[in-house]
Amino acid sequence: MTPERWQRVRPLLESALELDSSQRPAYLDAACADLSLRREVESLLASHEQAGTDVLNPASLPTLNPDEETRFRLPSGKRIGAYEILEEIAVGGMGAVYRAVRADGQYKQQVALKIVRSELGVEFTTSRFRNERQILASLNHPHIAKILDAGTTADGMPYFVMELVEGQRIDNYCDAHKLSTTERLNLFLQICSAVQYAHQHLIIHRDIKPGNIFVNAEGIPKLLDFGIAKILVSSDDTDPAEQTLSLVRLLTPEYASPEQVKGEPITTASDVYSLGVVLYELLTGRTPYNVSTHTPHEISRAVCETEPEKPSTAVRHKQVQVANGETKRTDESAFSLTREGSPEKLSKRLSGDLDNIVLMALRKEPQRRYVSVEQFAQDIQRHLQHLPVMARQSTFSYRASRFVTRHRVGVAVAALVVVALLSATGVTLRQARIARAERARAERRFNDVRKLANSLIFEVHDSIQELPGATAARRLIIQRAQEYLDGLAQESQSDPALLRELAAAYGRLANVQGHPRDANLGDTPKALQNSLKAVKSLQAALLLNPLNRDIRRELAESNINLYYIQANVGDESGRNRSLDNAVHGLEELAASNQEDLRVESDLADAYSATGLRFIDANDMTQGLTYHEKALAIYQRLARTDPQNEKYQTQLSFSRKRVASVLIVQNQLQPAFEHEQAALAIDEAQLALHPDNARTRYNITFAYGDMGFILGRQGDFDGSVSYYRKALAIRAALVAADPQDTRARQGLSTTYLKLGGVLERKADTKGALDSYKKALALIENLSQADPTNESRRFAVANTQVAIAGLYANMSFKSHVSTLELQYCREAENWYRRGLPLFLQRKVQGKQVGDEVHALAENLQRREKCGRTIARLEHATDSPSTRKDCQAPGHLRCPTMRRS
Amino acid sequence: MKPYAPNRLAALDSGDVRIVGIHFGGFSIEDTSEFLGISPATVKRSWASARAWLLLEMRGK
Repeated sequence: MTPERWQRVRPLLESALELDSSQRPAYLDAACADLSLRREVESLLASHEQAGTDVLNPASLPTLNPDEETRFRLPSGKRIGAYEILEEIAVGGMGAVYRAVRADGQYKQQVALKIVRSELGVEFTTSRFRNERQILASLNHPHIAKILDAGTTADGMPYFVMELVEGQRIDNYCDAHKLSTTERLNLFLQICSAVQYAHQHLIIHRDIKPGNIFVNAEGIPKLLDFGIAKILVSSDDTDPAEQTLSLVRLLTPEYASPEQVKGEPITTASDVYSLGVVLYELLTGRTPYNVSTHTPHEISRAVCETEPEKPSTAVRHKQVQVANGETKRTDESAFSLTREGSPEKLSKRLSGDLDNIVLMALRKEPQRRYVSVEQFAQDIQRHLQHLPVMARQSTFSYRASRFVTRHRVGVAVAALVVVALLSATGVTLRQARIARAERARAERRFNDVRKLANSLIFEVHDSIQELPGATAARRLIIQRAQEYLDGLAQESQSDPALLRELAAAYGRLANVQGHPRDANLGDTPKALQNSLKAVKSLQAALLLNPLNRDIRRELAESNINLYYIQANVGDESGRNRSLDNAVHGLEELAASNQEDLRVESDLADAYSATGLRFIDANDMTQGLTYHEKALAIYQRLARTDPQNEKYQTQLSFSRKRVASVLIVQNQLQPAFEHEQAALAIDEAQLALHPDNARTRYNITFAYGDMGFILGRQGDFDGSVSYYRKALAIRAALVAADPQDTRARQGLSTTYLKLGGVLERKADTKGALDSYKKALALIENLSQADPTNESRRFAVANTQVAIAGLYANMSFKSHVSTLELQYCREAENWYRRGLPLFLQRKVQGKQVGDEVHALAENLQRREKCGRTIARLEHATDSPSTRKDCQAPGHLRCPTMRRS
Repeated sequence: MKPYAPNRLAALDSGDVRIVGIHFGGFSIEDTSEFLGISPATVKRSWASARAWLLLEMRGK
């Protein structure tokens, strides 16, 4: 139903609800001419009527009478809520399950209706029940039998309506289909995915056992009864002693974890344990505890105290075992039919990895098990892929500590009820309800803000990012998102999923604020802060989940981004560390899985960055090696997935980088060929997206470099024409969005380079004009972000170029007044630009050309100093002349005057 | 993740969502009315229509 529709339906519905049901048809006749609208109102009214006092109605507080066997044995045709019972499927101590169908014939689909015999009728008066079933109804996973409805019958029995799964219990299914160990593991992994999904939605099953896992005719396993155990036995308002007792009674003790049996807090680790028992049974045909009787107390003791036998050892025993009231066939003929052929072969298959994996899941202490179902499943997958698993045999210290605790646990189990009674809470019902509502509100708010921040950064911002002229709007959005994120960060510290989400948001924010390779907002300090926050969040997430490939990859990615931003503020050691971490992490990931394209692409990025770093440190050989490594990966990626535009763009960039090193090494022809190939890619991209600012910008790099190569080869006219092509595009981009700082800086660079060629062409006026334009642009940018070192250096570079031009003009001039005037100009510009220019060069970053430029400019300055001294000597008074005797003397009073 | 019913309701009317959320979260009609500063009659009316819609959504889709 659309909002507009609802606006029309709602007043009609509300008015009708005010009336007696007998008066409603007449009212609708009068008020509602539109037939389809009327039908909608009627179905809503029907829904209201059906609900009666059960589902979703907080006012209904059914009271329960003492149990009677007959109350949950229902005859066919009996109506429960909106459902009609067809037949009994199963009945047991817990209650009964029926095949049922919607009584109003609205849906033909058959469902399972489960009536639960509760030992604790009082539970159903709490809001927890309503909340919980609502959450359960939201679970939507192919391997979870969906909860469709829930309520209480007229006489107060709780019931659940679920997707009807027709099939076999998983253990029977495996045996009947003679599944091999590997097939059993694959089936089990599907169950893990269901439990993992539920855990992500903060729901714990609490009662995982083969009897709750069915495999349907298509071979798809489904987990039943998710979270129902919690509704039935746990509530903030109940006496904890009662909870504990009911737990022991309700759960199937063979599959309950030690903490469940002891009445300790239940976490996702409890499900890991129960999954471990199920796996144990699927692999060996036995339960982990070899108990002769199965009274709950006996089993509880075993669960808490006995170390389970290794699966590979257990399968060598011959005696028949009784589990869960059913006799299991464990004789040799059954093995040879259903498992690996013989007990010996099966034992061999299980020994090692699978022993360790199963026993790790079954550890007594929750914190020593797999930290998540995901990790458990990953270890099984690693085993299936013949990779080393995480689970190891328990260490000596582990076994020793087990020995000590073994003797304490006996006491603990016996004293269970007493302990629980002593810890009874003093919280009143109303306090508990308020606390719960506040928590729910806090959670809702957290999720709202999270959605808002993500939508601002990833949707709103990205949707306008590529539009020319959007920078001011982007800045606003980013500022708002920053506020939201910082608020969220304080509440996300122990949840890996949230930490990753946060890191992604911070990383994105940082890139928008100041990633030199993005059309950024030029706010380097903020970019640096946010980029660090992204790395820190991922490091925290990795600590919680050390084997997760995705987190490891994301950490490497965020280190690369941090590197670029650190490079921009001149943090030398910081950036090297970031990049080394990234390369190291990615090489490890790539080595363990060569098909992971995302990792490959990241690794290529990291190699490129490393190449640039070497070039910056004047190590051209290494620089070229890394750029070529990166190029090889990009070429492979582009071949693997030719439609992927990102790979095309990266391939183009990579060629340009290789070309730039070749230029420095004076291998001009191969460099030009790389540029041409890159240009072809860029032009194809531009044909696809003529309005995309980024694509238009990318093409200017090839033009610029080609201009440079031709200039070097002496083809000045060719060079100028390529530079002008680059200029035209960059100038248009700046005009379209005056706040696009990257295009602005790029425009400045192009003017500077064009000036250089014009100077060599002896077009002095053109050169000066071009340099001055470059300077105006870059000075402006540098003032806007004074911490940006690369801009400050660009300013100095441009000033020195202007100085050099004036110096040359002076040297070529034959009129002494002009000679003096130009040299004074030159000196003036040198004084502004040379210190930073020198400082940068002396730090060991110079490449061939730049060394040459440096030496040349130092010579020119000296020569200018001599010229000034000579000419001022001729014109100035004797007293000042004396101070300016030395050639190149820079502290001449006359020069300060200029 | 498919949003569960109260979130789907969010697409319709934020006032209703608040009522559903709070009343559903365990507060009585009176508490909800006090909490939101609206009359109990309004809470009741909104609740009834929102609930009817919610039930239809939950069962039907």
